[in-house]
Amino acid sequence: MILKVRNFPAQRPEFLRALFLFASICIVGNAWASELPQTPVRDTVVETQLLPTAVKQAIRQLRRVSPTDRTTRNELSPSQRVDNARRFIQAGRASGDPRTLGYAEAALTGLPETGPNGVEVLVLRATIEQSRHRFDTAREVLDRAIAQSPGHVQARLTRATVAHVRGNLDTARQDCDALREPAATIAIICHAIGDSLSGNNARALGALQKVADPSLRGWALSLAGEIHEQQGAIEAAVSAYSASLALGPDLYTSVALVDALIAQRKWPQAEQTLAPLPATDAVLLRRWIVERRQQRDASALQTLLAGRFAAAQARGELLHAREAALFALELSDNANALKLAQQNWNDQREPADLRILASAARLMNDPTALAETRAWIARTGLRDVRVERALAGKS
Amino acid sequence: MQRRSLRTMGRAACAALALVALNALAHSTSTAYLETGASASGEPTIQWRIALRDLDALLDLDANADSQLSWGEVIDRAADVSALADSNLTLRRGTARCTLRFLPMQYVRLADTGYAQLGGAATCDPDGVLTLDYRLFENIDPSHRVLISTQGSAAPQIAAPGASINLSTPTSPADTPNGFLAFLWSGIAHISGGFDHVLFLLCLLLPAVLQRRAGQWVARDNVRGALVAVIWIATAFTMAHSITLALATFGVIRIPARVIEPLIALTIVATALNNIWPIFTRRLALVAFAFGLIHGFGFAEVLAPLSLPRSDLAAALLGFNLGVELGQLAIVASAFFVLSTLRRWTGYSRWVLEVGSAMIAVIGTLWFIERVAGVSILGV
Repeated sequence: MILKVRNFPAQRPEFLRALFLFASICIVGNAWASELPQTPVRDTVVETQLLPTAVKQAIRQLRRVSPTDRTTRNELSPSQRVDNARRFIQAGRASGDPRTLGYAEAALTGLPETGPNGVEVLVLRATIEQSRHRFDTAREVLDRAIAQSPGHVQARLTRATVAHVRGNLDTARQDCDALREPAATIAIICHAIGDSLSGNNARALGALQKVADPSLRGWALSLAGEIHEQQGAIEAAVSAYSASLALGPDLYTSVALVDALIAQRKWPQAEQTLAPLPATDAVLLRRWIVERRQQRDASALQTLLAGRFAAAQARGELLHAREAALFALELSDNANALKLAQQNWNDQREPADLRILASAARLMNDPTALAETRAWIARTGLRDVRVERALAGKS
Repeated sequence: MQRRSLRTMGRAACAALALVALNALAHSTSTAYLETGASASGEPTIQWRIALRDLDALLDLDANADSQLSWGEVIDRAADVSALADSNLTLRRGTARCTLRFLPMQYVRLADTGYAQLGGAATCDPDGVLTLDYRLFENIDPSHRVLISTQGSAAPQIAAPGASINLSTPTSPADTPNGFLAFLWSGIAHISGGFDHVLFLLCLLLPAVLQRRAGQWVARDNVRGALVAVIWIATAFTMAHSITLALATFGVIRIPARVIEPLIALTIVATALNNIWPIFTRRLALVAFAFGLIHGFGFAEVLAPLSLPRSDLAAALLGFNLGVELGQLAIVASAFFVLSTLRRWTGYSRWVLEVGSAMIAVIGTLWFIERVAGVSILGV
């Protein structure tokens, strides 16, 4: 309409320079302006990620004194508060929003650890601690719960999970055994996890394939996917993860599927899987990797991720050291990657964490970290081709 | 108050360059930011930034329950947000509680999370240690944290709900009126974030480094000539908008925002079209003056809702206007640097002046439509 169509200017390099200049101003200006206070127009959308209404209602019930009017009292019964805490934790699992853990913690504040709801209170508290990677505290709380109620399925399973994450396979085995009586199928899955962490991959897969209980089938398939990956069978892993997700959504499994798709360089499928996921650190990191490996401009996501990791560290807690280490690895910031991988390894000791430690140790040729990796494999018997490849410098 | 942000503009312009802007959703722990400082008269000031997600969790701001917040939904509950701040942020000097006065809420994005920013000034006892009791999310989210930074100090303090924080006593820089610096800053923020004004100014500056000879644009011979032209334009714009800003602020003339906002968009379109099909080729300063009168009424909308008493108003106006000028100076200086460097490039009149103006005209037109029809086209 207004543009007059004319010949392209002859001074192409100068034109490109001007374009580059404009683009730089655009990018810098955008980043700079976004940190400045603004007064947008009324219909500008300023936030899109809100908590579900049911959760907000539960928050309103939570505040025994209203935030604006300090006289309003709103007391709930202990069992209602336990229900609300469970609702918060479930909402957090679905969305990956760590705030819900705080609400859950508040819902449980002051509730006694004994009496009719005592064990529930303890188990939910332990779940919160576990989600915050405070595994030692979680274990102590679970010890108290199991002392009260030795057959409590959730308590036993959560304590086994904590032990698995920390690599305490013998302790975990005892809890798995204790599950046989009250929940046989969960016991089978529990043992299968232990097997997968100690090199008995085939046995673990065999057990998981037999899980028929519809409420546990999705979980079993997701675990099977991880074991397939340990065996280097990525195609099988992708179909196991997909089958699991077909039975019900799960953030953790979705991210695992994306990792497998990234390993296969199946970018469109990876993007498709990522698209509906909430923007957790883990999800954003994968979005960035997918963009970057396709040689697309991912600088905005990179800035965002760096900002989020920096903000977490400013708060004095880097919960997602695993993601931060992967971020540094992707950027070939190997020294930092090793530091973060070790920090993460002190926290959680799953095969994925070992693989990151091995990769960073190999790239930095750090003899201590390499020895630690090999010693772990020797001690547990873990068989994971990704770790072996990382140690051989092939990934 | 209709005001287009640089961010939005950055998006529009960068999208034109096929640089896709990011609109990732935010998911992180609940963190608020609190910056403390001192007003020109030495009274403590605070600037509190709280995630809109957190405000929504506490106050349920999402009036139409569409799982997203518009700025309108937020400011409609401004009174509740102020009450929340008032009951959860307690400043005291010695044992006596300070009185906090809040400025209108603003919006800021940090690490791609929407935040509400609430600035305030406090009246306190003259003596004693300044402390802050922070109670937000007490009994609601024990993992909420506030990062408190004091102007001029290095590392922020981290505090949990229920904490009492000792704030080092701020020093008084000068005995100018209370709130002056806050309004200065507000002015700077307004011009840098009010992209319609920036765009208008830029549009006027594009041809300033050129001159018209025999119906053709040619580069000015020396930088000085270009500089003089730019100074004239910026001064004329400043004078004009200062006049109308003062007139509107003191209530001499009031023009409703629904009239002024589309008019501001039209000034941009007119100036841009004039760059492509010139009618005014000299005395661009006159154009700047005439249109600057309209922009001044737009600036006044930022101060008007404060309903400040007349004694404060003069100081606020001066501070705000100086802030606008400072921000404007920074923009004009950088634009001048770029444009005067590029002016001798033979493609300048075509690619910078004409294509640039065409893009600006398109944006101005869209703004005009938005502001008349009350819809969002360029919006985030």
